[in-house]
Amino acid sequence: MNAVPILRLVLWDVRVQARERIYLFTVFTTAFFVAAVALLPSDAPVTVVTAILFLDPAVVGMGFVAALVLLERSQGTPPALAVTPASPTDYVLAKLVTFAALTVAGGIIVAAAAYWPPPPAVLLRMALALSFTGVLAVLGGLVMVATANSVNHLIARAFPVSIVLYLPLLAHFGAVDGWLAWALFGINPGHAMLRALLWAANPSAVTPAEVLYAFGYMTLVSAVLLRVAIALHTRTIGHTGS
Amino acid sequence: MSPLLSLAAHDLASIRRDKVLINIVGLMLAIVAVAAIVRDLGYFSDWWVTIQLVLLLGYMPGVGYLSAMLVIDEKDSGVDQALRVSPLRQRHAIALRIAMCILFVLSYGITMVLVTRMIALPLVKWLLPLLALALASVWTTLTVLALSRAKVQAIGLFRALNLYVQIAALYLFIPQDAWYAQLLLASPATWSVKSVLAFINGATAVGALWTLGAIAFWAALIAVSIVAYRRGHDRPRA
Repeated sequence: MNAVPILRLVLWDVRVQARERIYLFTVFTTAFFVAAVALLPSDAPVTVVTAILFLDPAVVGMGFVAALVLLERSQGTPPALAVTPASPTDYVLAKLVTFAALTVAGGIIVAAAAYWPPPPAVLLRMALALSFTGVLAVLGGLVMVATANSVNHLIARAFPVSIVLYLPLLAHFGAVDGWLAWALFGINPGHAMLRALLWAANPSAVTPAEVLYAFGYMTLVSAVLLRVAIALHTRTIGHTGS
Repeated sequence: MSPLLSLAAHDLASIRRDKVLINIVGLMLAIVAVAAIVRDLGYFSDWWVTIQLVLLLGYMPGVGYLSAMLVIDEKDSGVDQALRVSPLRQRHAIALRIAMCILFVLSYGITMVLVTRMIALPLVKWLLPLLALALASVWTTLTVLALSRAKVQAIGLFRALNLYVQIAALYLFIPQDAWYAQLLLASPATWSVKSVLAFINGATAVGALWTLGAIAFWAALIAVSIVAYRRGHDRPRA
């Protein structure tokens, strides 16, 4: 891993993402979510705002990174990368940095609109929680796309994954609670993401043990996904190493 | 075999590849089965109308997007180039995709409302609202094709189009007499939601008017997308 190729790849990714209008589309969808949270009644429970964040802004990178990888593959980028000093790890990290930053930026704007005028402590906690959810979502997208042959193949994978990821909303809104919620969703990264976002919005809504679980579990899953993503993309890029 | 049938067979083969079709249809059927079980067990009865409408809104743009991606993927595989020199006219190829898309979403929608029975309406009253909602998938297909050059733009655009349809679900959760509830009428999907709610309340004429309005609204949006598509398609490639 080398800082210079990563920086160059990050800058290149930013250009490609701007060219493919990813930022423009994110502005549109963020504006939609800002309007939605701004229209909520002032006494709307914190679970509603965090659920809105979880539905899209907190995991915005998952679909985009996958589509971008497929586009690059169709344009012959991986073989070109294989003969540059950039390693597959650099490639994965550059995507991670750019899309996680996009997640934090979009999510913070939605959170700021929800808690206007936003207390700095809330924004800081949100930035932390969104960084974790963003990284996990981007890595999930990178793993899903690594062996996908087409966009429809990717969608066929992402569809069930999204449904499973969103199932902990049942616990989030109290439809399932107590030990059953943990038994059903404890292993689901979506549950950890929701706990982290809930903590960011209102620390008293979760226990310290839950905070520990949320960030600890997201770190663990992200570490595993990072290893898998690097291994899979090493194979697709065909990097021989130096 | 006629060129159109050949293309239909090609599309079917494309979407069956990598188990895409079986995964998606399997999951859609599982959703219907779960909803039917929830209905039969009597769980969440206060939420049945909401669940049914959210389920109906949920899949329409997604299927439209899948149809569009079949065409966009053709640019990578070269089928796009082959089609340009085939006797099949481009507008017929697109019409075929739209017909297949409508057939799929309508048959699934009808199956869903008949199997889940979360909203007790006769099938006759379901047909127009379902047709109106099915037009959301046609609009998604055409708009994605008209405005995106590649996959990434398609996925970004789809997110915006999907929100434009899903926004109608908000109408079920906010006070319907609030001033901002009227803003949701900017999406024809909300008109469909209002039509079903009117049918449930026994206001058949009002329901029919809302659903006809939704169809006209979607038709106007589709016409704009067709114009945009034709302009983009007629433009010579760089």
